Amino acid sequence: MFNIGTLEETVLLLVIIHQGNAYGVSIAEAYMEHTGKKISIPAIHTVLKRLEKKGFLKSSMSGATAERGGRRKRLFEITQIGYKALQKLQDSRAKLWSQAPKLSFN
Amino acid sequence: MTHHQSPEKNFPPKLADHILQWYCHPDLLEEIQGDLYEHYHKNVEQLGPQRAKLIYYWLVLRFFKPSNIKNLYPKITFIMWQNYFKTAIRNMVKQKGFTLMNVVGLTIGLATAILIFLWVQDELSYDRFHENGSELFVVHRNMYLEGGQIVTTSAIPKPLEAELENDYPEIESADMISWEENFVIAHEQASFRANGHYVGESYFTNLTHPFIVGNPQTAFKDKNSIVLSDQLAKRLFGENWRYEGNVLGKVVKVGINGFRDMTVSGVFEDMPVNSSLRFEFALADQLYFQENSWVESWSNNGFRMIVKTRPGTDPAPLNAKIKNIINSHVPEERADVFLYPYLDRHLYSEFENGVVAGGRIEYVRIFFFVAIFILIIASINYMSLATARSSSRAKEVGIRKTIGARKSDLIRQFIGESTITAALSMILAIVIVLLLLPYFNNLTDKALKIEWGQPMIWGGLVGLLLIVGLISGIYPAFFLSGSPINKVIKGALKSGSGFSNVRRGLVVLQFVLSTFLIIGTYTCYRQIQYIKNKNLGYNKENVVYFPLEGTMIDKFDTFKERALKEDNILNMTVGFNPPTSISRSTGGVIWDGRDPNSDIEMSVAIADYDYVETLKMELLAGRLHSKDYKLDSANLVINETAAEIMGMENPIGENVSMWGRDGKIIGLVKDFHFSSMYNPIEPLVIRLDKPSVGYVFARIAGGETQEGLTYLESLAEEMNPEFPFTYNFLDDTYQATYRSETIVASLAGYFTLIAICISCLGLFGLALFSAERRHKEISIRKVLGASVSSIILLLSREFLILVMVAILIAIPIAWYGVNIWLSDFTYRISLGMGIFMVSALLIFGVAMVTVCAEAFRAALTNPVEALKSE
Repeated sequence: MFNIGTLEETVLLLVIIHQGNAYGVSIAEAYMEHTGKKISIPAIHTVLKRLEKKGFLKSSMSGATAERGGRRKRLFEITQIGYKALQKLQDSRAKLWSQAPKLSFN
Repeated sequence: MTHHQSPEKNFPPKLADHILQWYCHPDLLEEIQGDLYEHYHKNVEQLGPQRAKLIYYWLVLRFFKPSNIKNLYPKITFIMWQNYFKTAIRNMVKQKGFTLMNVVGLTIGLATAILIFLWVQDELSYDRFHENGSELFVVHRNMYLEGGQIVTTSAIPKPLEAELENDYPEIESADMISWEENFVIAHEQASFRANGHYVGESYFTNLTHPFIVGNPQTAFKDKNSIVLSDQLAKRLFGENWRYEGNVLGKVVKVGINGFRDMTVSGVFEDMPVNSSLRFEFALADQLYFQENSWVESWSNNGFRMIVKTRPGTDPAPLNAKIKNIINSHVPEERADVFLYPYLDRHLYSEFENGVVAGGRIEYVRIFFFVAIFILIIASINYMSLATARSSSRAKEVGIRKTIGARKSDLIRQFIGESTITAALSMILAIVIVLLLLPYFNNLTDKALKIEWGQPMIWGGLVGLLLIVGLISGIYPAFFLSGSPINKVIKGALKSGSGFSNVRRGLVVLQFVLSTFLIIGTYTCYRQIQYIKNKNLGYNKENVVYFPLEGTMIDKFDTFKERALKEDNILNMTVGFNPPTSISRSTGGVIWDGRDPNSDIEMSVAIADYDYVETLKMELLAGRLHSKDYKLDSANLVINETAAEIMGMENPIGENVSMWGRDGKIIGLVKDFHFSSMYNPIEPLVIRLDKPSVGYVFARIAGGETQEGLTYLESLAEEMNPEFPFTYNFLDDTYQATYRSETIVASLAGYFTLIAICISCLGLFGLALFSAERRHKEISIRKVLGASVSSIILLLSREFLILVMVAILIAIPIAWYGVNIWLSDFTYRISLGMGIFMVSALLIFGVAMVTVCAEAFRAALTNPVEALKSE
């Protein structure tokens, strides 16, 4: 299976959250809102495309608006594989967390 | 959503959009552009339009990465290339005649161009092997003569050396070098002539001539040293001198005023062919100076000098500083000193009014353009034949287009085809070049070869091939790929008479170039014939000359007496120079009424009795030097130009003084040519003085040359046994003066012939094609009663009109061009209509024969052959 990087994981989660309106600009904005870090449109496009190529996302064209000059968006949706991979990542992390002793650094 | 401005004002920058649309893959364009627009609008609101635009540009740039870029150059699969290749080969095989014509034309063109480029490259490589090349200079001086004339010469006074070396820190060292001289060299049994120079101490360290043995730095520590070339060492000490003990310290005899012992202090590698100065041995200049005190005068210019500057020296300011050195020592004459780059001396050796006026570089340029002309002519053949045949390829083009070939695919295909033809021709051309090189070298006096080890050569050949392929292919490619599909498929694309305007233009261009070349060559040939056969004012036939040396110097009178007893020796004299090149000159002739401030340089022929008689110059007035008069050596014989400059209508008996001796002008000779035809005849004085160095000239009875020579040889060997008898014919020496012009003329002749052949090949191809395509028309005309001559006229008229047009265009251009070349000569042919008429008739005749031969064949074909199938 493919590995999922931190950026990819965040983007995948954002796609799930913004289901129905998940495309380049919206994800980039959501990413900034969530992490406080800037990400450029071309960078987001690259990540989305890579995730689609890995089979974690699928996409379709729709939702033209005036401010886009009448151009459609490429709307992304999570696939079953993507969802499972995300869950697996989360599970294994939770499992590790559960084994980790609570530490206090005061 | 927030309020939006009107869309027009709100558009992202157009240029950025264009860039995006240009590179972006069409599948991705919509989403990317959409996202960018949306992002842009948000930025306009938050950051203002200025920054939003900048960001837009930046993002467009950021999207430029492989995954987003459309296939600018669609991958053509291997199969496609294979198909192109196959089609090209099939077409070439199918149309054997045209292929042959194309390949032959291109092969000849390429072979000629390669030969010329090798020659050009060799010319450009002269002296480049000197490691310090850019720091080497030859000292020159501009002499300002009476009447505003400036003569540039590299002959400079010897004291200049010390002054340049001592007073100018920019100059590292200066070395004298004498003019080339043939000395007799002897060692044990061997005795022969070799050419050598007196050179300065650091000559061999400043110029790059590696030593095989010996130390270049100390080679001339001892004045009696000699440095030999490898080849000379072989002649003196045997082929294997390197392995047969030390040659350093060996003693050879050199003929300088009788034989002298010289100690070998070094052997250098033979000087490369592309060295502008080449000699076989060198002697120390100090040896010469110690015995010739005249060189110490600032007024005697007997040597040349090579200067090496310190690295990084800018010659311009240095030249400004040294300009007046000679003037400060010799104030009565003006001679400005300057440094001239050593690397320029081969190609830019001619000066006019004190500035460089060219030299061999002119021939390099001329031939370079000839090569380009020939390549263009050969490429045009391909172009016109390929487009003329377009109808035969039209169906293929139509099918290809129908199944989706783009215009660019077709262009690629056709350029590929011409490149394949060019590649085939290139291989043949290289073979031809390899076969012809020995003859070409013989003709041009060179040792050219293709250096296969050098990447430059490969690059050059492949580059040449690609350029020719591209030039030949580009027009047919656009022509063939541009035709509309429907017409092509319907077969409506029958290109008129086979002549598009472009093709007409191409034929005209070809023949303009050919006519230009033929006029140029013919003029060149005529001028050289003119020079060679010009009445020089003396009779150069049947005169043999040989150096005056050894015991002959003292015993010349006896020698002459004995020689003249023989019937076939008509006369004999001694002269300092052969009359073909009287190089000695002086400003020291004083006559009554000479303006003391004027600076008049006169050539000096120093000669023994019978000089004018032996060489058969014409005495116009007075008498010649004669033994009947005492003290005749103070008297001078002058030429017409000298009389004119002295302003004397009747110079005989006028007082004259030369080099401090007072005498009279006793004779006036008709002007004769004693230097190059490039220059006017200069004033000359003939002074009686038996030279101690110089040549013996003997006039032999016509038709008895061999007997005369044999006698002279036996006499010379008897009276001067130590020196080998080597002679030259004056006539040969004269012809040799114009050797490079003769070579150039014969080369130009060959190249012109080639150019005309290729042009006619193309013309023949077009005529063939035209006749082939019109064979039905011709047959019908014949059936209806047309005569053979009317058909020939029909077929050839258009071609011949084109050739006529070409000739009319070429004549004025050629007239202009050859006038420039001829203007270098003071003595030149006049450009009458004759040359142009002959050239025009020649080219027209050749073109007519070419076209009519084909037309004749077509006209004679039995009409049934063409018509029976319909």
